[in-house]
Amino acid sequence: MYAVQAEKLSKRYRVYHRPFDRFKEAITRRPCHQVVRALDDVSFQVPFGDTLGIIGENGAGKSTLLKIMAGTLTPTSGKMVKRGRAAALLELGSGFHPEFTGRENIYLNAALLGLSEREIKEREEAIIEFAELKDVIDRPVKTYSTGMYLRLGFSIAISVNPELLIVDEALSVGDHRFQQKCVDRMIGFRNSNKTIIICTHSLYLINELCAMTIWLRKGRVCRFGKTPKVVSEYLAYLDGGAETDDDTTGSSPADMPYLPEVMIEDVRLLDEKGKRLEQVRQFQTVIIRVKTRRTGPPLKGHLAVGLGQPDGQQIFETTTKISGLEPMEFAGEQVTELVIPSIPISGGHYLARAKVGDEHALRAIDELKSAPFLIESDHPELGIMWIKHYWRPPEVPKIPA
Amino acid sequence: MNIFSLIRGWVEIPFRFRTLFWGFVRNDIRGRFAGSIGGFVWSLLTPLANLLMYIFVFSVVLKMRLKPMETGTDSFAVYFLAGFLPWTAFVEALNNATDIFLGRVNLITKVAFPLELLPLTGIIVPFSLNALGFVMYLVYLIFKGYFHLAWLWLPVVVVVHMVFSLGLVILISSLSVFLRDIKQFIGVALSLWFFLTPIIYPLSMVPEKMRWIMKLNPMYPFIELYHQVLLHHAITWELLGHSLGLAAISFIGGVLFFGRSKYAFADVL
Repeated sequence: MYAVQAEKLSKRYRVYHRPFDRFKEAITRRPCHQVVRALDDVSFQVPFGDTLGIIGENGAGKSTLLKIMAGTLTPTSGKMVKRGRAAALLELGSGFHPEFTGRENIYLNAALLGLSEREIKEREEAIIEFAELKDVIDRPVKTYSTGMYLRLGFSIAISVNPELLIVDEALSVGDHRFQQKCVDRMIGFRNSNKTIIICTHSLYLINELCAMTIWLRKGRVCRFGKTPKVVSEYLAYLDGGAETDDDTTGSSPADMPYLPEVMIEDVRLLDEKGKRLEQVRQFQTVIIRVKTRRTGPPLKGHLAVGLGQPDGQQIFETTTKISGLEPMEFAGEQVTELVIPSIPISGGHYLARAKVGDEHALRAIDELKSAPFLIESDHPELGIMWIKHYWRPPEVPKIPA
Repeated sequence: MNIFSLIRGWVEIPFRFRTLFWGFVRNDIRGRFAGSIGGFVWSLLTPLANLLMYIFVFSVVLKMRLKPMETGTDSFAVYFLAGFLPWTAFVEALNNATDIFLGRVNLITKVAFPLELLPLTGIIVPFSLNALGFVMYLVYLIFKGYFHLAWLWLPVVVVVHMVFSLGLVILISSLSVFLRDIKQFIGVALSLWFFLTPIIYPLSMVPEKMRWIMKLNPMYPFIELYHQVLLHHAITWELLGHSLGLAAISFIGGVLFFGRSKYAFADVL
């Protein structure tokens, strides 16, 4: 049994140049439109309790697919079967009436998501609590900031406690702390065996939440499989078709518009025995090996190596200059290694990035990213790294007998 | 899908989704008066201002005289309001109909819920707001001694009138998704329609040769039913049958059109 089953979904839009064309076509029965294929033969299944990510460039058909799943759009052909109570967060706070207070808007919005009056009453306080809007809940929502608006919307939707949650990019707004709160709530959701479908540009979020991922490209399923694999293929595609195979080296010189003075040919992760790493255990030794090539007379410069998240967020970077090394002499083919004896970064997907700069580490000469790699962690704590810690709980007050 | 299951849907949905339905109705009513100081007093003042204006023009200036034999009253105000109050509810429903789906693009494309609730709200709200003035009018009539057992027909007339209006509202609201010019058309059509309906004048004042044209007007049997029941204290089966037929045509037509076009709403919106 699947929570969601899509069979050969296709969606074609008719695009009319003028509104009159639609009318003309209805009368004369002669087609006056152009057909746009938003989705083409999309099939997939999501088992109960699974999380599915949907990635793809703008216009790939992600939103169309989500709308069909949410039930606001009807597919041109194909079938979509959902089982269990579904709540869709295609847009937070759609349906809010700006003149009404937050509390009044909770009522209608929750009813829209299918709650009965009694259920709404029961959950009202929890909704306000989660949205952190206790002080302003009786003010009209037109006085709310965008963040408050979104917090209320998310809070209502999550309170429905659906079997199936469909989320569209909704979390990309709001401050970082609330975002994390939403992600935590969704992880809780996933852990209580509910199904989540999430569509986002944040590959970080996809990695965090989803076991399986669909990569949509021009309305078709380009890849469908385990998240790490799909995401790394997608990233490779975004990087301009750079392959992630073992032996290929970045982009070939012939493709470059001009040749950098020093070229980074490869960045890869190795363990202490020199074996290539794709999965890293937290706190293991990691060696980042950077292969450079200089054609022409030797050139002085510095090398920078950093770690980041696939969405571009930097975690750490160091340079040979910061570390107090003399400028390196680039000549011919060379290998530089950065050794990290114990990597404290939390579980998730990351990549390494190397940069060559000039003698003063001012001008960047070349730059290359490694293939994404996975860090596996035994620590359940949140955040991007693990920090040594222990608790001092309050003392239990003694109650006099 | 056949017509019976479509109609059954329209009857069931407001009960199945009653929380949401009442939410929409409440929001709609409150939304109308949100931010205004006068609040719902305006929904009484507007017909009152119209009443004074028409009394001035027709009763004072033009000195129109009603024959109690034909109309059941000699007071212009009494005659006028019997038709004008139901007409106002009808007009409000139709005027707002164009925005029922168009004005909620964000909601319809982003949240899945039974769209049937929106036209239903669009009928319930103007009829219940105007019911206020209508009840005051009825109280006035009782004081003036117009009460009669024939008034028991009133709920029937109102329901048939509402079903007729609902059909039109469904049709207009779904049609305007595809044809946005409807909005302008409705405005013009309604003001003409008003003068072609025997509200400010009794049918008996229309030249005999032209009366058959009046009877082609779909609003004619409804307004005449209000006049008959309230003032004439009688009901003619012909008029009732006429209006029942029109209500059925309008409702079934609206439901069919909506049933066929609703899947395309989100594409167009």
